[in-house]
Amino acid sequence: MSIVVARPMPGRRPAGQRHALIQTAHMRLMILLLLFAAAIIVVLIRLAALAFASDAGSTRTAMIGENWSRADIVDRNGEPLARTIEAWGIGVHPGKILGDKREIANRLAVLMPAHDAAYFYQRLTMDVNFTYLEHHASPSLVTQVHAIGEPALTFEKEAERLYPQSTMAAHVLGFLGHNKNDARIIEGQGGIERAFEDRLTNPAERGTPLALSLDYRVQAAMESELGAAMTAFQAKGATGVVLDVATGEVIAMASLPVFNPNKVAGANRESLRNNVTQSVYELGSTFKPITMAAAMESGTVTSMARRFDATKPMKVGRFTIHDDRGDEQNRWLNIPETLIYSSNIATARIADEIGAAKMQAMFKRLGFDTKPDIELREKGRPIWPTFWARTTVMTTAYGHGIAITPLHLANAYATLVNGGIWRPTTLLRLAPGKAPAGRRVLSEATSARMRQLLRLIVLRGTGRKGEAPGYRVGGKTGTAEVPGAGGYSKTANVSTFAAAFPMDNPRYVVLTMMDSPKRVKENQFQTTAAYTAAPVVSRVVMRVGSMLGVMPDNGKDVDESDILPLLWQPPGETRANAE
Amino acid sequence: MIAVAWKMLVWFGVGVALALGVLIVPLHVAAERKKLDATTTQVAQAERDIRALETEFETRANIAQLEKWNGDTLRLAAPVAGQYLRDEAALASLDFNAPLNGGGDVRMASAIVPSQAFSPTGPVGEPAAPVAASVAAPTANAPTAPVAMAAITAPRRAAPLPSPAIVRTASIVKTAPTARPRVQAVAMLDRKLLSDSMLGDLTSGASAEARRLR
Repeated sequence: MSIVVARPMPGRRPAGQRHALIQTAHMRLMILLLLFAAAIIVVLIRLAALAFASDAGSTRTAMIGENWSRADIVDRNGEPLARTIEAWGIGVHPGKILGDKREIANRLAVLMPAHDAAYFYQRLTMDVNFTYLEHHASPSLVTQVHAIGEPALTFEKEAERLYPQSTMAAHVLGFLGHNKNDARIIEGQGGIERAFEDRLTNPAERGTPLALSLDYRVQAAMESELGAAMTAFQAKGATGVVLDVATGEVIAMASLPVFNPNKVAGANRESLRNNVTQSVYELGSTFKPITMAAAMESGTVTSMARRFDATKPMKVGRFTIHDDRGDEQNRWLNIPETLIYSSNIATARIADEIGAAKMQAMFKRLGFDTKPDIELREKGRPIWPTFWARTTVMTTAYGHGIAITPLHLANAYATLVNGGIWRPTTLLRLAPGKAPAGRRVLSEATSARMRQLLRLIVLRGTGRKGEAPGYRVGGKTGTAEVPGAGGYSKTANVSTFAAAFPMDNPRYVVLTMMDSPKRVKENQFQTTAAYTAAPVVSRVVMRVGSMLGVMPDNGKDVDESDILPLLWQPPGETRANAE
Repeated sequence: MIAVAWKMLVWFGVGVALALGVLIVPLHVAAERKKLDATTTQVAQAERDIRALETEFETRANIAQLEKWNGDTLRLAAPVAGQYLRDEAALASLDFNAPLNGGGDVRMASAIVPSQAFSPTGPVGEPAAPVAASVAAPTANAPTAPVAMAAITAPRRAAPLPSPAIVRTASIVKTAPTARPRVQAVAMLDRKLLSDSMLGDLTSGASAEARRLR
C-alpha cells in the first residue's frame, strides 16, 4: 500500500477577506512609519533644544568660577599690587591608582621637594576618594606631574591671590586667609584686603581695580632705604611714611620687619604688625614744632625773639627737666634757637605758659586723642594722659607722656606746613580736586612761620643730616627713650625724623622712625634721630623727589632773612663760618 | 485604499519637509550665536592669557629684583640737583667738557615738571623753565656708570598740563611730546650729540614712513 502525501491546495479566500488583510498590512506599515517619524521629530526637537539652551555665559563662569573673582589692587599709577590668577591644584584618587604607589611617591617627591616620599606614599594610600597633593602649583610642575602618566592624578584650576611685588607694601595690602568659623570661606585678613573685603568681592565692582594712593616707586625706595638702615644699625624695627600734604593721600607706608603676603604661614606676629598705624610711640622732640605752633596760635608767643630761660635744668615738683646731653646751651633761648638746639627746658616753659587746656585743644584738633583716620582696620589707640598735671603739659610739649602712631605725627606735620588745614589720611587715590575740605587748625601765618622754622632746623640745627641738596627739606628730629618695665630704657631709643619738602612750597611729608638702633660705626656710634632716621629721609627724598614732580633746585629756598639774625653767634664766630 | 495611504504619506512627507525648513532658520541662528559665544570665550581666554603673562612679567621683574640688578650691574644712581638745569641760560652756560666739576659722558633727557598742584602760599614757584641737561657725575653709589641727564621741560609755553603732579610723575624720564621743538633746540646746541648725517638719516627715514602711510 502506498501512501501519497499531497500538499493541500490553499483554499482561495473570498475577496472581502483578502482586502481586509491588505488593509491591516497597510495600517501596520503606516504605524511603523509614524513611529519612525516620531522618533526623528524627537531627535530634531532635542537638537533644537540643545542649540537654543546653551549660552556662552555658562561656559565662562564654569571656567572662572563663582568665588574666583576678587578685584585687583593697583597703585596710583595702575601698577598691580595684588591680583587673582589661575593656579593649579594637583589631587589624587587613591582608590583608582594603577601604577606602583611607592614609585609614584618617589617621583612626586623629586618634583615637589617640599615633602618627602613617605609623605606622598601616605597620601597615595589614604582611604579616601580624593585628596590634594599640592595647591597653587606652577604650570611647569603640572606638566611634569602629568608626565608621570598616572590617570588617578588629577589637575584642576584654582584661584590664587598673587602679590607680584612680593613683600612690598605688605602691611598696606594685607593678605587672604581662611575664615575662623568656616574654613571654606577665604577672606581678607589684614590691610586693604580686609578693610575693602566688600568692595573687592562685590560682583558689581570687582571688575574694576581698586586704586590706592600709594606710588609703588616711592614705596620701594622707602622700603629699600629703611631696610638698609635697619640692617646697618641693627634696629629692631623701622617705619616710614610719605604723605601728600595737600590731600592727605598716603604715598608710601612701610613697616619693617615685613612679611610676604604670598606666604603668610611663615610670618611671625611681630612682622605682621603695621607699626605705622598700630603701634604707638612717645615720639619725643618731634612734638616741639607742634608746641611752637600752639604757642603762636594761642598768642602765647607773638615774637620769634622772645627768650626763655634754659640756663639750668628746670625743677617742677619732684621732676627735673633737662636738655639732652650735647644739646645744652645753658643760656636764654629764643624760639628758633629752642628748636635748633631742641631744648626741652625752653619748650617746657613755653608749654607752661600755653596751659593745659590750649595744649590739649591743639592735640585734639590734630586727632591725637583718637585712632588715626585711615581706612585700615589695624589701628592703635593713642595713649592720652588721663590727668593733665602741670608736668604732663610740660612733658607732652616735647613728646613724652603721650604716645601716638607715626601716621598721626606725619599728618600733624602735613597740617603744620600745608597752610594749617588738617585732613584725614587716606590710602585711596583721590581724583584731582577731590581732596576733603578738612578743618583749619592753624592760621596761614603760623604755618608759614613753621615752614621757616622747620627749614632752619635742617639748615642749622639737629636735622642737618636730613638735608637733600636742592630739595629744600625741613623737619625735626626726635629721640625718645623706649619705655619698658621699670621705667625708660637708657640704651634703647625710638629715633624719629619728621620732615617735609620742598619747604618753599611743601608737597610731601616724609617721616622715618628707627626702633632701638644700636651704636655702630655706620651711625658714628650715635642712636639719636640725627644719625639714624634723618639720613634715611635724605636718601629717600633724593631718590623720589623728582619722581614726585619736585625738581631739585639749589637756587631756591625759604626766605629766612627775618629769623637768621636772631641766632646767637659765639664771639669771634661769623655767620659764614657757623654755616 | 492604497492611493489614500500614499496620499497620506505624501502629505506627511510635505509636513516633515516644511517643519525641517522652518527649523533650519532657528538652528542656523543658534549656530551663529554659538560661534559668537565661542569667539567671546576665546577673547576672554586671550585676555586671561595676556593678564597671566603680564602678571608673570611683573612678578619676575618686580621692583626689588630691578633694584638688585641695578645694585649688582648697572649701578645707576638718582640724578643729583646739579644735573637738573632750570632754563636755557643755565644750559648755555654748562661746560660740556667738565660738567659738575668732573669729566664724563654727557647725555641729555627731557623731563616734564608736573604743574604744581598745590601751593599754600599762593603761586610760589614759577614753573621751572624748559630745557636742560645734566651730566654723568660719578657719585658714591655709581662710581663708574654715567648718569643720564634729565632735561626739564615745563608746561609754561607748551600745552597746559592740568593733571596734578603725581599723575604725571611716570613721564619724568620720558621725552615730552609737547616739548619736541625744545628737544631739537637742545640737540642743536650740542653738535656732538647727533651728527648731521644721523639727523639727515632720521629725516629721510621719517619722510619715507610718512609716504608709505599715505
